[in-house]
Amino acid sequence: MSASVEGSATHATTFRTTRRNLEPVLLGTVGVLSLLAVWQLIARVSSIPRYFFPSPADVVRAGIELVQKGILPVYIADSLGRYLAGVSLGVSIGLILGLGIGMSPRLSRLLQPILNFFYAIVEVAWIPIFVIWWGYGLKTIVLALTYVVIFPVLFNTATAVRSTPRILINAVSSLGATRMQVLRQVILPGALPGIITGIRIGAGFAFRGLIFAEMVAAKTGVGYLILTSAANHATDRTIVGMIIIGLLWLMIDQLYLRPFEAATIERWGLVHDATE
Amino acid sequence: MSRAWLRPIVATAVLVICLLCYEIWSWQLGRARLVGLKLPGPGHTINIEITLQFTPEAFNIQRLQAAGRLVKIADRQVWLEGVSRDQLVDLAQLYWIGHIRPWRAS
Repeated sequence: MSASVEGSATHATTFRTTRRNLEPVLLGTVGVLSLLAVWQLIARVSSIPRYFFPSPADVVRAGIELVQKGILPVYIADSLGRYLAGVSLGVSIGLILGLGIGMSPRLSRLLQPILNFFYAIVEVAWIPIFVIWWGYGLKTIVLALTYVVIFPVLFNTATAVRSTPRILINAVSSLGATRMQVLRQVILPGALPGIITGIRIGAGFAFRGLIFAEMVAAKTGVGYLILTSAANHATDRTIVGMIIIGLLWLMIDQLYLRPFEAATIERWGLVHDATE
Repeated sequence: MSRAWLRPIVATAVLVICLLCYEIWSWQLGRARLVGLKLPGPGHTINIEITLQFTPEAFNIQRLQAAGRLVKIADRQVWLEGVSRDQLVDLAQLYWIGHIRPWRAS
């Protein structure tokens, strides 16, 4: 009797957990489908020209055509390559500078005014100068992305390093740990959640930077596709480019950044299982 | 190991498998297209007529121009001169190309 009660209780818990996990996915799908249905309806009922306001079906057709012509895979690969190069460089520089500034008050006082000054100058203002210095192409785009990523990583890392409890650093130091050991065993693990948050913010900003940089300084890429197709009144292709950007970001965030952040938070004991 | 780590590992594995499949498919496609075509030897070039499945756009023309000298475009046909063996093999692996035929300049 009690075993059957226990069994049904387990069933009920499993059902509740499954429902709790599936509900956001289902609701999200319903939301997207509703948006597409409304969009298709407006495009069909209204007399707005197709080149001005294409329907979802037109956009899908344009996407298929871009794949058939070999354009979309190459542009996506080019954009992703530039994105990865820019983000990797930006994260590396931001991390080194952030650790330095976080650990050394003197270096912080030296660099803080300069960094705050440059933080206010967005990458959009830099790209024309980068084009003059390095011309159109990979170098300019990667540098623009690096510039975008550096600041969130740097400031988050510096703040996270400064927030490491002094008592822990003193305790490890008093046991004879070197500066490098303190960094590796106390500061870095403690600052990791902050660093990961900085990387995630920077990676998000980098996508916006990528689109603009490709519009100005590239002859391939999704940003270039958006610009040229809009100029040629191929609005359906412009929307394909916009959707691709959104999907790429969703994939990078959901498949890499969020799990990385969750695992880091979980590893350092802030929550038991961050994915749940 | 935490469940959170599984997602990026699975995603990367799926991506790598997809890329590998694509590479094998394009390699196979390239081989099939070049059957019966006499490949030029090292240091030699060939003139080719390429048939596409669509009217070429700027992107396609630029890609073809990287392989050889563009002579003429008529509807879905493109004529190229001076294509080396390596460039021919690369071209044959592009999935958006229809047929490749040798062409003798008059």
